[in-house]
Amino acid sequence: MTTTSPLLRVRDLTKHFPVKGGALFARETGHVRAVDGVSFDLHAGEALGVVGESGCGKSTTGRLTLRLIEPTSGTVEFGGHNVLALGKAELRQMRRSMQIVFQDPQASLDPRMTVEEIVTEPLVVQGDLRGESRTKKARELLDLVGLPVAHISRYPHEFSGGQRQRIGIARALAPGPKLIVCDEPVSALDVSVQAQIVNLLSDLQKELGLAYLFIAHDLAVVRHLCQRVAVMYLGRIVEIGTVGDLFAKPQHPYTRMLLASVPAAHPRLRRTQAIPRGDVPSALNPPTGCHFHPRCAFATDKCRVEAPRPRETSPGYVVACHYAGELGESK
Amino acid sequence: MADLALTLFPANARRTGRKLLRNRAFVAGAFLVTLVFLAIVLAPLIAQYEPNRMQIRMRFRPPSSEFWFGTDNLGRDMFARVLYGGRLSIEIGFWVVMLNAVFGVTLGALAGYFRALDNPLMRLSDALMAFPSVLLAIGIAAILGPSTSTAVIALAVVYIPRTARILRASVLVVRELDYVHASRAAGAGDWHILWRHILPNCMAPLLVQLSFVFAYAVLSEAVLSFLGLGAPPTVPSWGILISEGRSYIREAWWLTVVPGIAIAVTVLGLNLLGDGLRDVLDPRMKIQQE
Repeated sequence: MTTTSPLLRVRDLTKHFPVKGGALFARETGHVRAVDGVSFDLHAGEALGVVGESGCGKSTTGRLTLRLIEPTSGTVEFGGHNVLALGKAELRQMRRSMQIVFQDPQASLDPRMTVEEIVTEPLVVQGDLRGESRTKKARELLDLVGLPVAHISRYPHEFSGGQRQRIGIARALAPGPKLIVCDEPVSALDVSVQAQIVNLLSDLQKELGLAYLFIAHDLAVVRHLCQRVAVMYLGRIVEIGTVGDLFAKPQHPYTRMLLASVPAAHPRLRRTQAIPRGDVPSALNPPTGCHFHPRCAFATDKCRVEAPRPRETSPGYVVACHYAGELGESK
Repeated sequence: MADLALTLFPANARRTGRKLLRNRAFVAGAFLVTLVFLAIVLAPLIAQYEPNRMQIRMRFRPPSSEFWFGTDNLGRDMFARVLYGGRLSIEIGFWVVMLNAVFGVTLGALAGYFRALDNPLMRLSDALMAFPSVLLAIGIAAILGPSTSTAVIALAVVYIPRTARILRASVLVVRELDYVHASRAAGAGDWHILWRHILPNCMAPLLVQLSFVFAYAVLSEAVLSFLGLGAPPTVPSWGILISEGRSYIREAWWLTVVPGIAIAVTVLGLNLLGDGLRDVLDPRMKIQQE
């Protein structure tokens, strides 16, 4: 870890979605803790992967960071500015530096707009562009993401899934961001196309010095693209560290379970030990103590009562488990 | 109508156009509606007589080669009267559709996009929709007094809540799509998002709804006129023609039947047109229509 101040600094980020009952006079009958005290740093030019099962709050974390959803509490600092305290005009200005790429390339492109209109929209909205310079800029952006410039006046439905995702990436690049939140950008694509998009993101990162908050559930993709990984479980980060350390020596039992559930290509390499058991509990009514204890092979009474605080087991490596470092190889 | 679809749906213009031309309901509806419109617009050229020219010696002539639709109790040519009468019916229908497009879209978009406005606006529209539509129109027309603009206002008030509701439903879907989030992440404001992303993508169900509103408006206008609550102009609308002919229904059936057929053909054409548009543009809406 470098000692320079991080590009993005997230502390205790929390989002509770109210659950309402009743028709006309709705009352709050509870809330879903979608994100529950998430903290992490992201340095300029670095890619941080966020992995976890469906519903663990990965996507919500990404959207909270961009303030597409207002957090319940916590702080988000970007380049030294508190994003959550910005006024309308300042936030709009700030949005130039932080962009997003979505999972579904079909739903993320307006079917009524041409590619040129789509990729230059951020600049038009920011008031930077109009008229002919728009076409010129659109050509540059398409070229940057490897799309034929001649397709500039086509509509999204005329493209394949992978090409659409390239258009989405071009749009995110338009205002010259420093950070791009990638919300499962390859999950909806064919495997062969996934590799192309991952390589494109990787090249762009090197070329433009971008930082990624890369949300995914495919561990192999994260391993390939990211420098660090955060593992989320039920709205909390349970383990965060460099890709090398985390994949080689996972400390949290949940991380081990996730890694063990990746199918191995060779039958002899298949391990049968830590097969995931049980489902993810409801975030509406999470388990007491450590959220993971009902599924954990190592759980003790302490785990059932007391929630483990994140501990730094080595510099830059944080685990939220009472027994981190004490557990042997998985049973 | 096909041209309208082309300008509204540039993305799939050719494909949509081809699908529409292959849709039998749409083609039949478009044919009937075009026929009615042409007849009404070209009335001065087609009709041999002035609609109000009385020829007392020619009273109650049944349909013949000279008077295609017969003559009425004052010897006026029914063919001319039906053609000219249609002008008023279609004109009223047109204005009702325009008011629906403006106010229905505004209210629906506000309710769907600004969630705080949703409850008040939709409860108000529930209240209006709780009345049977014709009864409500009669009530409003009775309060405002009979005139053309009264009929337009009464019918618009009746159908605006329905249009608003359909638009609101579409807005609720579109506002959660990722391209709206992307636009917001780029720094776009609410008006840009509504105008550039949400409204263009809600056009299909709106267009379908408006074609049905046109049909209902023509039909309801006839009811209002029949009851004496529509316009009492020199050239009567179809509803008034039926109302006048009612007294002589035993002697001269054509006085009521001919304007009745005119209404039926127009409404049928508009409904077929709407059905065809709906099937091609927005198959999901099939179940929602009343």
